[in-house]
Amino acid sequence: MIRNAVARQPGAGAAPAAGRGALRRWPSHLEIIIRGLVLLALAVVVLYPIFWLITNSIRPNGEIFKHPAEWLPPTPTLEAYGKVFGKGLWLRIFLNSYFVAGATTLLAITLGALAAYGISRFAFRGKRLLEFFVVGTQQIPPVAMIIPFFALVRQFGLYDTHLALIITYAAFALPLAILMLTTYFATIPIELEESAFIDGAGRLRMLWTIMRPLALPGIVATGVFAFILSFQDLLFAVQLTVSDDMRTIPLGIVTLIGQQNVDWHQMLAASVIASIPLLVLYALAQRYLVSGLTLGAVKQ
Amino acid sequence: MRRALLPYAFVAPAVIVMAALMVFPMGRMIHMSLFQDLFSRVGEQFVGFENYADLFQKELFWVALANSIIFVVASLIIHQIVGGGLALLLTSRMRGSLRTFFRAIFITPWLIIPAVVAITWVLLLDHRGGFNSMLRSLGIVECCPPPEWFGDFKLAMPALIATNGWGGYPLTMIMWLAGLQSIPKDHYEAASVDGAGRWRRFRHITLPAMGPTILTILLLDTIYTFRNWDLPFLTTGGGPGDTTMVLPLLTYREAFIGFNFGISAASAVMILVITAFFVFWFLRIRGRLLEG
Repeated sequence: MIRNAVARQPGAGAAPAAGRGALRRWPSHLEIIIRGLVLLALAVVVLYPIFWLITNSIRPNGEIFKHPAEWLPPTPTLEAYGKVFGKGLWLRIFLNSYFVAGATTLLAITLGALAAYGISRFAFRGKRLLEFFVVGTQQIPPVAMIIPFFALVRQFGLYDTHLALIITYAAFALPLAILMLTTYFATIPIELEESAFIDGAGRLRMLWTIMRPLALPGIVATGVFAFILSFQDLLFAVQLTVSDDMRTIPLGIVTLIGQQNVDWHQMLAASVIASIPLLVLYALAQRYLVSGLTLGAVKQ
Repeated sequence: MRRALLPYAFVAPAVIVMAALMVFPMGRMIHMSLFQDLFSRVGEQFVGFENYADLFQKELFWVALANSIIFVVASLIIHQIVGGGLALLLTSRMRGSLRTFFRAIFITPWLIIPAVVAITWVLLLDHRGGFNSMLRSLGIVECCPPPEWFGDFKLAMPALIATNGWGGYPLTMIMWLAGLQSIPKDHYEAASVDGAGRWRRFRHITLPAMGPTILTILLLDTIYTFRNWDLPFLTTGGGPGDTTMVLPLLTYREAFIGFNFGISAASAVMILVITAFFVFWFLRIRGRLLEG
């Protein structure tokens, strides 16, 4: 089942054969147009909050909570963006987030792929227990561990370092990464490796030269999930870092909410800029995202 | 390396990281829930289940539990209807480029950082915000001062649910899309030949094939929504008057505002126990579906 899904375009499965029933389904053109209009209307509803975020970020500072507000700001200004780009700290914050999320992704994919290869290619004692362990760890809620985590990180002298964030996010990304990659690897015929095995290739080399290219959609999808997980986290960033130049994007945005007042102007501009990288990441990876997601636990 | 040890070498690094950074702290949290005077100079005292007894005596715990359940159930319903509905629309017949375009649009909320989602919705639902402006320009609400959505006793929870509904449905949609893909095309063709209409094809092919997938989505969504801390923390902070207080917020508040680490730990353990209960329940239903 999954094997077919990999090659096929998303959605082809549900499309009925075009020619055969065409006579019976008379209003097919009309229907397509109506469906398009419904999708368009829903798209407007879904995008409305984002539209509101962007248009408010280009209003002059005093007009953000004007009521009733015009749909479009009458006097747009890029002043808020100037504030964000004018600060060296923001550049630092953006770089921090890319670095932490990038390193997390690499670590989660590497460890996840090794484990998934072990699970999908070997029979060994304790395998059921291991699968139970992976599913079980996925249920651990982050908020339930922050206090011991804080103590642990301090003990190892990792408080206020990016390394602490990276290994934390990697640990939280691992269960899903292992589940996704294990099911993906299972769809790749083992015969492909056997010939290489005869050639004397080691397991690690096989993982790199055979599995990596074949499992690319699964690996990319897993990577996107890990990247997003670490890019979006606020809870651990708040607890494990303290200095200004260690901040990641969500923390940088939230620190603009002061005790007395909120710097809405700067916050909105930073929010817009902060949203761009994940949109770009999606655009780059979208080809693989749905086909690479075979829903770990679903098909066992 | 000895052959028998090889598989363990592959899985060991991941297992070590997860054990050290997830299982160990979780175990420590369970341990902490049995002690009082944690991190104090007198040293921690073993008190058995006293923290749990204290927690259960707090009215706020039951309020938070009820709110959490409302929040999870309502969010899941919205996610399934919107996410599943959109996935079905997106898999219907259309040009490939159009499909890619709409899929990208409908996935967008998933790509927005939760902190930004919260800020956007606070901006939108402020009493001088965009939503009230829109209601006014459409002539729906003309009278009286416009509502402050996140600050209203009755409206805060629906507003929080709407925020989470918007931010969370794309994940459900993506998983629906992945599940729909794996339904073999020839099932539909055979049904078409037999003259089955659209509803019957959905009812007799799509739904049964999607059953286990939907349960997996519900399971993951329950885990993710139940533990959601960012959105309630940043939009309402649990207020007004604890109407949006959910368990993760209570856990956080007990630890970092009340410094009741033992009670916070007990509350954290309750989140884990309730999650485990749901997971077990879903897995049982799924097992039955897969057998039958």
